[in-house]
Amino acid sequence: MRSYKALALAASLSALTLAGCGGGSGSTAANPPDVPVADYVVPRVHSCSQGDKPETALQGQVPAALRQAGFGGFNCNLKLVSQLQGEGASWSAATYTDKKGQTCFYHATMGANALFNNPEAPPRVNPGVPVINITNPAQPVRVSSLTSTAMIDPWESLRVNAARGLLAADNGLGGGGGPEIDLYDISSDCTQPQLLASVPIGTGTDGGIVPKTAPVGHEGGFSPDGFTYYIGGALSLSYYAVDLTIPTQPKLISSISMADLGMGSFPHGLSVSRDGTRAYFVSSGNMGAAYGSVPPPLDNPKASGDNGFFVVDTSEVQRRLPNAQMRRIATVQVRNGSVAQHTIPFSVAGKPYLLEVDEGGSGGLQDPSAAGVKAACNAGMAPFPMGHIYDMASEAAPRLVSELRLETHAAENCDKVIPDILGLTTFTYGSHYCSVDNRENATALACSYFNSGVRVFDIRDPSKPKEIAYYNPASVQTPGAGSGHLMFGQHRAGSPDWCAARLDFDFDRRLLTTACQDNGLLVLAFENGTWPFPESTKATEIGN
Amino acid sequence: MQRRPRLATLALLAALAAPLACAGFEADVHFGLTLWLARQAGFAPGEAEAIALANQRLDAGSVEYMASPLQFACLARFVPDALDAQARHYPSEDKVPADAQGRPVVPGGAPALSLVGAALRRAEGGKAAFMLGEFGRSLHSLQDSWAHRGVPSVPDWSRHGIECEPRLAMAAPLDRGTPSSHAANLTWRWPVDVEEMAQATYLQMLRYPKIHGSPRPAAPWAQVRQALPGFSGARTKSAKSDWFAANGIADTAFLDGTSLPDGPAWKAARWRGRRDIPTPQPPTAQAGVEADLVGFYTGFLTDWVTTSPVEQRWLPALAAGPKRKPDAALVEQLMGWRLRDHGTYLALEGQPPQAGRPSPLHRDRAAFEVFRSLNDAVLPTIRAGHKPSPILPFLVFPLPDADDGSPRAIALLKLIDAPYDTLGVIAGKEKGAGWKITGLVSSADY
Repeated sequence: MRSYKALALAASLSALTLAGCGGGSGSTAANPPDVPVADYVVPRVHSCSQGDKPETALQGQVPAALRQAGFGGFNCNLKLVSQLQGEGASWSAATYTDKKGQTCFYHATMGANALFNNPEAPPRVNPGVPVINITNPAQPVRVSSLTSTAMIDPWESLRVNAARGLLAADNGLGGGGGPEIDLYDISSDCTQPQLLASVPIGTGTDGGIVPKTAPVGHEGGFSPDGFTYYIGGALSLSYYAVDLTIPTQPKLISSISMADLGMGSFPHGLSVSRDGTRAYFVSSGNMGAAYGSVPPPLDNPKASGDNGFFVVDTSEVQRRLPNAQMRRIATVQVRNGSVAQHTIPFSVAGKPYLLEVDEGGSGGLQDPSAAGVKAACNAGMAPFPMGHIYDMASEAAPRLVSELRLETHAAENCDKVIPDILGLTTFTYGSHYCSVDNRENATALACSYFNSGVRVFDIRDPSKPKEIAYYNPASVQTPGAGSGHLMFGQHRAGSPDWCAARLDFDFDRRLLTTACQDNGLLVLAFENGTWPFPESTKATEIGN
Repeated sequence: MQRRPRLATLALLAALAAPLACAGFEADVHFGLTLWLARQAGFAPGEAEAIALANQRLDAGSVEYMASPLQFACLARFVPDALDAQARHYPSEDKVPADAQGRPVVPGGAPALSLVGAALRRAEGGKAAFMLGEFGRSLHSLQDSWAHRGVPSVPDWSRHGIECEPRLAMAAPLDRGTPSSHAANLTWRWPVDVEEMAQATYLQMLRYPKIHGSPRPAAPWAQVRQALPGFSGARTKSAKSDWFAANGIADTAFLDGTSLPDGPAWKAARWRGRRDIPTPQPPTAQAGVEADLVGFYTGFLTDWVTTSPVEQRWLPALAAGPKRKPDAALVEQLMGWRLRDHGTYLALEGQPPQAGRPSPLHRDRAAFEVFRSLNDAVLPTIRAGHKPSPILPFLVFPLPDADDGSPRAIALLKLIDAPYDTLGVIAGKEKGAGWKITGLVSSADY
């Protein structure tokens, strides 16, 4: 195994050499054809476009020297079309095209709250979720901001449902606000979302069931048909199914606790199958006792950890059976990571897969001394979070086929990357959210990788993802108070941003839209025919 | 050679001449007039549309506001839906459950204004840009307080074995039309009320907070009111469409499905403003209903909407009368409810029956739309109650057994061509013959 890692490292170094010579990021020798999943490093971009600014060190790395000098950004095959920094962004974002053909972008923002209050942050001017018209992608315009209860700080719950033209969020204030859910109608005019409901769920006032523990918002997501919104209640330790049949009167119809699911950790993100009968919930674990979780298992063969995902039967919810129950079909532990963030089901050439993405490395979340990173490195495991792709041919026994490990994640590179991140906490290198170009026919996968920016992969062979483009925005000198990066106290002068939000592919316009926390909205264009591929097709649904 | 008048013309004349005894206003008011008033009040086009759309969607027949008195007051007896319907369409001081006499509707009264007041308050504090929809919904209650002024009537379907809870039921007051009709919706019958309603709507629009601090230049009411007689007096979709076109609203497809007769030159088209209609689950998804009954209804209703009524292919599913033939009046009803021009049917239905002379319209194939599937023909519905319901093309409820002890049932559905009504198709199980259609009732839903 070690020899494969050495090969990968050598490949990285050779690429670095090429890049340093002005030859773009160059090509990597890639992995041997039979490299084990645990050793697979995603091959670098084959070649960048003219005028791009390729990475100068490891894939995904912003070296300490660059941070001190003031990071000016990297890009390869993705160029900036436009940006709207506004007051910054936080964790979630969504794009929607309405019946009139207008395209809008919405993203979560933070603000001072009981847990996160950076005294150096400027005051908020336009709190809430900005409504940004990107119909002309070169000239994004903030039209207004949504300031209903859940929209003040939706955390990771802001989603769009394309089928019904709904925008939704739960109250994620400070990571766990309350039981409220807000719904907006965006179908007719996405530039003017209209509030349909802003009500508490599961407290006895919505006409639905009353669970043992009322939801506390944090994460969330729609069923593709838009008739159910699932809340991932990280602090209330349950997942909740909210009936949106009447969107002005959402009501709770089912819930399942983490105890019922079988791992004693935290719920987080989720996804739902196209037909609504399966949900893919996560168990956010391997964080250690300080976080109410078991210690990362690392190389302890007797420990399995409490991080991973569940395949859950939601057919009773989908069919709206009385007293609908959700039932676990399978549990998959993910040892090589922690703090599972979310999942995406997708098909490639008709075969079903599932992506599970973590937001913590194998040693847990980042601490200032990088103790967790070092522990992971010492165990030969990934020190930073990444996506894990599973073959779902048997939903009862998902099979890991690949991991989205950048060079920064390779244990051999630990000595090179640890100096970059000392003194920083929570998130540095590694993933948070990913999106595929088309869940029914996935060919590309884009992920937000915090300090490593936006990364796009060719997943036509899901067992061998290849990087095709990246965009890591320049450091922002004066981020706004909506930025999670700033409010977490992790912004440093000259340092790279936290790119953490969902991303949306725009097939017709060859664009990728997302938000990084200090930089705000980024509309990016694929260069040089990088995407779509000949096999790519337009998604009939986005926003999930 | 003297030209014979066209069937549609005959039908229209009949419709206009009929002493219509027809419930709240319809899309001509809740969408069209509201949109026009909002523009006069200085709202930007997109803002005006947001107000009007939300207002109309309370009635639009989407699954969001399908509450029908036939369900919440009779077959399901669900107080929350009755409360919601009352607040939206029959605002009154006293709330259901209560005797109808104790819950009169006062046009523009405090109950009719309460939702408007709440919406205006919630739109303050920089929220005005995204509260337009809620404001639009609140105007619905205010506007319907004119259409429903007086004491709500209580529909009586007891002769069909359908017992209702009168303390939950509500239909248009008797002096504004029979409960199953739509006379209260027709603006030409109530021009004074329409002007008062429009003025009250306009005044509330002027109170709406500034959006992003921008002032709204509004036309004076005296100028606005001058155009209203033309609106109120239009007796057909065609005439209403002409009024809207002359007043700057070119797309008048929102009039489709209203209770006005089509009129000359009306080109029926589905309105794009309707929320996308969800695909219902299979009828068998309704919990607690016998499969053979659901199967019977699915077969009959599918035949009914996917074949031309002129062919009457569904006749074998009807119960045989004394002469071993289906009841002629029931056949007429089943054909009439399938007319694309529902306004004309409503008018014809109000005329005295002419024995043995079916409506000429019923022989005109072009007067009917033949749908590809049952789902295409209906606005899906949900079962009222605390428990979640799948979205279904129709709902089945048991009825009390017939005198001979045979079981009876009713299927509720809403046709896309008659979005302001809920139909109840009654069936009985005959010994040896299985389920047969025995009757049809309708409920005017606002």
